[in-house]
Amino acid sequence: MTCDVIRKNIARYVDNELWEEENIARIEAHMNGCASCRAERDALLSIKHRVAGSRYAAPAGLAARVLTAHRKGAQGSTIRTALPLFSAAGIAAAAALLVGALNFTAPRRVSPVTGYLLGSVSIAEAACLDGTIAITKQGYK
Amino acid sequence: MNDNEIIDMLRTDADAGFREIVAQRQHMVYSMARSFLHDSTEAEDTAQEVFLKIFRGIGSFRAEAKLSTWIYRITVTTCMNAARKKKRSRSVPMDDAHLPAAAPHEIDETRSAVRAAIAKLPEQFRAVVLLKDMEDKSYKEIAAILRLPIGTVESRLHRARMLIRESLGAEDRYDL
Repeated sequence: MTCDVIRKNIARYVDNELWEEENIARIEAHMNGCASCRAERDALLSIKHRVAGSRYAAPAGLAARVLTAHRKGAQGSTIRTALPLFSAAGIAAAAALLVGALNFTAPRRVSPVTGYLLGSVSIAEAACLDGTIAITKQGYK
Repeated sequence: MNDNEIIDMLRTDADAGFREIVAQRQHMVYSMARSFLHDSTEAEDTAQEVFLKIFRGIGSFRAEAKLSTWIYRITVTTCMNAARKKKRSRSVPMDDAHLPAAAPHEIDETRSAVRAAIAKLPEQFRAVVLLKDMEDKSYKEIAAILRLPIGTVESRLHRARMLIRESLGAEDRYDL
């Protein structure tokens, strides 16, 4: 193997990315007799070790802070998902009432009890009526 | 605890699974964030953001990918985005990139010099060298994390190491 071939593979060698034993043996054999390629290998290993040694350790409170934020976030998301459901139900109910009120100008067939509850018939009238009655805003038919 | 065991734990007891992920990954996530942002407070904020993204996204995680690859990917992309955002909002260069060169016989100062050399790297080179030399990931894993061809990983790693070597040139005269 020439120095050029070694240099092309030296990073793979120091990174343990060469899998063929034969190639590893050839590179090692070359380096045993080549001070220049050995120096290149050592320089790469030095950088690797220095970068590995420059790792930061997480501060002591980080894990607790993250888990607290997660719990708060989970509660927040429950509230956030509940709110639209509540709003949607409220809006739907309000819309139904509005539609009902708007339609109330037209006669509607209901039971006498409902007619009493809606204020279209008196309780005495409701007690005397059978079946259904047609109610309007003005009264009943 | 390996990836599969954590995934099983997340299915049965999500909170316990999250605690395990934080316990296992907090140093990696923080170190990556600190290496990109050069500020302890910003690194903590970004580490928290990374974990919250992991927690929120775990439901959409596909088991055919490795959990660790997915976590690394979220970590690197979140840190790179935070660094870019910080860079855009600042008109002066980041402080840690201009740390004074260290005296070779003082370990802490040498470490500072290496960190300063890493901080000077372009982000795409920095990500590769951190994943390889700090996290000991294989070329294949780095390619999967960064979604790059292996050849690009190798060329960026080579370039990153050359730049670090240039930055540490004065020290190498003593150390090698």
